[in-house]
This record gives sequence, structure tokens and C-alpha cells, in this order.
Amino acid sequence: MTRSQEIRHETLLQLHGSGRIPIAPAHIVKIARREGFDYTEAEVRDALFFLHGQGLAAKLTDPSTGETRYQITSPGILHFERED
Amino acid sequence: MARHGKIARLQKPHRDQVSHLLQNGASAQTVIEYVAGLVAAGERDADGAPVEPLNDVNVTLWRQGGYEDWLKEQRRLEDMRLRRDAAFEIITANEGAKIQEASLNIAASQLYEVLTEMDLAGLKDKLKEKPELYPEVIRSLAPIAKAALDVEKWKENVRERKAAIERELGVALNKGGITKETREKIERELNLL
Repeated sequence: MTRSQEIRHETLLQLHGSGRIPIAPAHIVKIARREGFDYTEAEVRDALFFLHGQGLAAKLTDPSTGETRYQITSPGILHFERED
Repeated sequence: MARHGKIARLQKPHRDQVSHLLQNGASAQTVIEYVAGLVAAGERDADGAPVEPLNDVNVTLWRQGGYEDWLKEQRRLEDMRLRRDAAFEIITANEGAKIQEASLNIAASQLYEVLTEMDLAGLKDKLKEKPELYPEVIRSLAPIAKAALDVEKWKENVRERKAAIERELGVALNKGGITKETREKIERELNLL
């Protein structure tokens, strides 16, 4: 597995674990660091960009604050369970 | 860590089934027979190559490596699920059911982040020694939940007022200008913010 693939896997795992609760890139980085990974926020954002493009994650923007969070989609759940 | 053994190369559902068998106390022979069934069925691995039969060494190495990784992920997923459920329980206990689900999810996400950062294992140990502290823990989390909900309710209020103002302006433009009545309606909406 390349580093990018590892980061995508960790990101998708956290999205899957969070279910319908949308999570922020900074939160993903914090939790990954606690597990011993050294991913940067830029790398996680790249992974989220990819997952979003593949339809595996949905992007939610709070219209009042502009904050962006991500939530796993149904295809994302299936992908995690079957492929990841 | 990337793994390349025979079990690691299986498609995820088959690989997970091997781990489930081990978790349920299955012997190496059971796992070997399970994979033998995949071979007999002509199943392919994740790379598209035919599944290969296993021996005891393959199972032992998986038990020491890939299976441990799988167990760790299962524990993490279960941990996240518990924290997620706790976040929703606390949020909905504070009248969260009265706001839209999208706002509820956002409010829950703030509490979920707090819960995720807490050392729940340490907290659980302390609560085992002193279970009388449990209500106090919940009470201490309730203000966070309430604050998050209040923010989301305020945001919903802003969104609704904004939509109402835009509707009035739209009507006014169609009629060729803002009437005194329209202006009063907009002022009422603004005063509600």
C-alpha cells in the first residue's frame, strides 16, 4: 500500500466509524495521530478530495460559518466493507 | 503496514471471514478448509489471481500479523460507534429532536469530537471504581450538547429569516418596488434575528 492509499484507508475508516456524523479534516488528523500516524492535514484533505470525487464521501458546508465537514455515503460504506 | 501473504491477498470479504473465524476460536484447520472451499469454487483473490490453498504457517503468520491489524480496526470502529451513539443520546436528550436532522448531525459532530478526544478507557476505569460519578459526567457533557444545539437552532433561525426576507424582496421586485407593507415584513424578520 502506498502512503496515499494508507491515508485514504484511514480517512475512510474514520468516516465509516463516524456514520452520519460529519467530521472535519482536522479531527481526522488528530485521531490518526493518536493511532501513531503522521499524516498532515494537507494529505488528509487530498484523500477527502479523492473520496468525494469517487462518491464515497459527501461534503457538507455550514452556510453560516463556511466550515467544511465530510460524511460517508452509502457507496462509501459498501466500498469500505467490500474493498478496503 | 502492507501485507502480501496468501490471506492478505484474498478479497476483503473472504479475508474478513478468515478473521471472524479466528475471532470465534476456529482452529487453523477450519481456516484452511474454508479457503480450500474458495479454491474449489474457483474464487479469485483481490489481484484477480486464483486463490491459493493455505497451510498452518500461513494461518499462524496471519494470526500474528493481519489478524491483529483487523482486530485493532474492529475495536476502533466499535469505539467510534459507541462515542457516536453517546453523542446522539446526549444531543437528543436536550430536545435535539426539534431541529432538522442535518443540523442535528452538525450539533452531534461537535460533541462527538469532544467525546473522541476524551480518554474513555481511563474514564471507564474511574467509573468502575466510583459509579456514582456517572451522572456528573453526563451532566458535564450536557452543556456542550446544549451549546451546540443552541448554535444550530440559531443558525436554522437565521436561514429561515433569510429565506423569508428573500421571498418578500422577490415579491416586491415583481410588483415593481418595495411597499410599506413589504418593508414592515422585512423589518419584522430582521427584528427576529
